[in-house]
Amino acid sequence: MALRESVKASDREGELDVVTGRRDGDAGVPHGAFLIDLANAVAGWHWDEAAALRQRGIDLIGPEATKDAILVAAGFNGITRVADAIGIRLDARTANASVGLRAKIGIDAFAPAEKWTA
Amino acid sequence: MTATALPVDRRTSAAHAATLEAIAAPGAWWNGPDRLAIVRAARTAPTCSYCADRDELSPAAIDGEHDNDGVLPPIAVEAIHAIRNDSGRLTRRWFDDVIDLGLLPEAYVEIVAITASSVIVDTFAQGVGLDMPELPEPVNGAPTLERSDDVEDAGAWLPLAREGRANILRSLALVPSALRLFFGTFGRSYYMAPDSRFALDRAQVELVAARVSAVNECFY
Repeated sequence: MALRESVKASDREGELDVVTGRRDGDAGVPHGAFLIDLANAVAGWHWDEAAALRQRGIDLIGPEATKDAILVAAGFNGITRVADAIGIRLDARTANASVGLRAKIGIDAFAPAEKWTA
Repeated sequence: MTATALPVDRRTSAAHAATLEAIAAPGAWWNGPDRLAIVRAARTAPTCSYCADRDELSPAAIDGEHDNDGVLPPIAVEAIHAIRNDSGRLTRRWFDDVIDLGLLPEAYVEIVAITASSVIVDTFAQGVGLDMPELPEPVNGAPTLERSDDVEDAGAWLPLAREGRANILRSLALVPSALRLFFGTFGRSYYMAPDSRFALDRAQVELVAARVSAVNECFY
């Protein structure tokens, strides 16, 4: 859901390489590199790193925005688990619309055949 | 609370507290003490020695024991730890094994909702520099055995709601209270309501969301 919505919102397909970790950068988003570091720390439960980034975030984007970035990251740490644990598939319309993009950024590797094969 | 903890707005605090209160009450397929045990199992998962030592997710081949407090059946603990620690590696075969070993699909859905909701609450608390919240006292009462018939096979491991604009929003519909629990928690973290507001712009929110999805190797 997130990658798909990100593409819709930004129309910057090439910059999704940053999102998938294929290259460093800010993805064309203000303070994007910092937000990616914070997302990595929070999603990976690296709390010492998150503490340092929290302090940096206060100076860089302010405490409210830092808190909100953590709130979004926490939410997606939960919803990705729901998606994976229920074994849902992409909606047909989205799957058809994003075939090329998904191959390009390598996200299809997250869905091996055994994901749905009994 | 550490010296560098961030201030938390009242709406988020209230929403997350409401999540834990709801978990402490009887659910559809688990009672209050069991539902709190699911949260404790999710909290124990990161340091579970059995999870750390195994290379492959296969409940049918369990030859050890997950770290746990003995409240829940072993197959429930397997599900909780796998969802918490290894969600990107879950497969249809793993799911089928969990069900074959005795976990009802409805009970599994409730486990997914509670585990994922507690992941949100605990990740947020620790992320802003707070301790994980204390759990409320359990509320006595029997599970309702609620199950929706308004679901259909949509190619997922479990039936999804017949209606819905995205599969993720249909995903927990087999047990409506589980769906409400999870999205009541998640709702503070994304644009789920017309009045959703963040101190980040839309592109920044999407970037964080997308990066977390990538870190978790979530196909969806």
